[in-house]
Amino acid sequence: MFDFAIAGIHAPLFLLMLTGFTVGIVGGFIGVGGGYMVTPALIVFGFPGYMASGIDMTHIAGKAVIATVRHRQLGNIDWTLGLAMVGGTMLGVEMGVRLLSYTKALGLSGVVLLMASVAIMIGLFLYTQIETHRAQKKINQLSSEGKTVGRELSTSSLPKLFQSIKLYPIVRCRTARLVISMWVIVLVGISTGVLAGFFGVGGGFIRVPALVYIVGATTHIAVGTDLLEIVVSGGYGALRQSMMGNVDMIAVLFMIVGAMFGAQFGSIATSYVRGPAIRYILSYSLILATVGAFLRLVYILSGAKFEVLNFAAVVFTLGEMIFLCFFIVSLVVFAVRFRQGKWVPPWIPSLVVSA
Amino acid sequence: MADPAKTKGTIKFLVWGILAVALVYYTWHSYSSGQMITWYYWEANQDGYAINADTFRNATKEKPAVLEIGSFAAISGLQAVKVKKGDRLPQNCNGIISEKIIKEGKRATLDGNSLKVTVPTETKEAKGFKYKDSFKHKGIHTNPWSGVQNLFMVIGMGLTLGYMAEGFTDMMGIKLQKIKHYEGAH
Amino acid sequence: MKALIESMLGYWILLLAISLGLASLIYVFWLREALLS
Repeated sequence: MFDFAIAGIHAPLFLLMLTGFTVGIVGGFIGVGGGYMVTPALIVFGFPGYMASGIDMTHIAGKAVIATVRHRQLGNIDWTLGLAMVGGTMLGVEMGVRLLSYTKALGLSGVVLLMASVAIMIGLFLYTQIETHRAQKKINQLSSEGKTVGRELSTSSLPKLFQSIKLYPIVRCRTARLVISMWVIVLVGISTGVLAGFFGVGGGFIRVPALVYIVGATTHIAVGTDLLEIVVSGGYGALRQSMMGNVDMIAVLFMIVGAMFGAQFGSIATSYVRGPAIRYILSYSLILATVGAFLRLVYILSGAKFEVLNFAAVVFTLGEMIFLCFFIVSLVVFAVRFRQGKWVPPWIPSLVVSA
Repeated sequence: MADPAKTKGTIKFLVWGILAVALVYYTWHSYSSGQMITWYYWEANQDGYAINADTFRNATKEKPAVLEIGSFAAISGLQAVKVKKGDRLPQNCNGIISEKIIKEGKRATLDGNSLKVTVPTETKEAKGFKYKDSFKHKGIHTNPWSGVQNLFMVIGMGLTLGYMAEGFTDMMGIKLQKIKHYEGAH
Repeated sequence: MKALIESMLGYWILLLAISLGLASLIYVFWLREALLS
């Protein structure tokens, strides 16, 4: 237990570092901040709600820098794409937050909002799952034909549609090998930002699939580029939250120490897998976050009377973090075994790279 | 002869490692010396009474905490200092009981030259979980520079720890190559 | 066990069960006392 003088609570240090570590792995691997997991976890550890958001946002900025440094080394960042999108994202988040206050003033209830966000997440989960499953099948088919399958394979035809919009100015993204209208990138930034600001779920969840399925970047580049965006938006969030007095920097310090190890592992792990593996983990995190939010919704709607529902919500919040870590770690372990010619489950070869 | 890439990695690891340790030390020192806390509880953001919420966390309606009102430079135990919006907060203060709360009379009331607190915490909900919300952090304004300081610390730690880790893998001979995104069928 | 690992869904369920089990242990050992009832 550690006495956090600013937050004014006693919290287990070990759990704080473990949270930083696990979310570091997940964030480095799928390119999200992880606020959907960290904020509830911090509240469970005893931090007041407003502080949980502030600490989370500030630690995300630091963790994103660590992961971005590593993704830069792996060549997963398209600077043109990231910087072209970041303005749109920030504008979108601000619009989303204002839209939220406006609709709240009109009398839109939090439950309706939560239900709408659950619907969006389930839709995104289903699309990602179905598309990735198709991609995995195609990889198996190409491999059985004796062809060398690349790092990425996406079966979505949406990017071609969006890339065919020839609206000036046209941007050339060298790393992502894209020639696309600036308007598409900015509008993707604004719309994912609005959704993030409006529903309160971090942008990465929606932005990574948008970068893959609308802009047409490879999953690895989408992850790296999204982390670059999180550095900017997280940095701005950290500044804003700190000025509002919502940040206990010592809690952030301990989380960052844990996140350093996690983000390294998560970022390096991307070099062992193909794009569909990352998309699978992303879709799992989408559905788990949705179930977690749903459990908490049921707990509130039941009048917070049934302790078993609280237990389920807490266990699920922590369990989803542990699950995602285990899955990422096991993918790397299987990839190494596959390289060594040892036995791996039959679904592994299509998801990992041999060298 | 030593591998030049490993030597370069060792230098990178050491240089960034020293910078990271310096930054972590600076953060810890700002906290332990009290500077970070003073900047956090900087000035009053509303009219009311500056208090230390930890001193009366067990107060109840049956056993209220009675705070002595005065003009103390530092709050010690059950004491309160009357403040106006924009005033610098006394030492050890970690929250303000606002005039509005006192007027409502549900959680705290004025009794001559003392302040009687009956409900020190309220149960609130965020993201579907309950937490105890006290008078702590209420009505305070942080020093505007604390935002800049926090941002500097967090981005600095991210950069130094990130490059230190990169130096570490280079030093160990695990030189990571750029991923070839477009080789093979895709 | 091998049958579970050989199918992706089976592996998914196995890992989720282990993770939720570990999370329950964390709840019991570290958090139960601290949380509000």
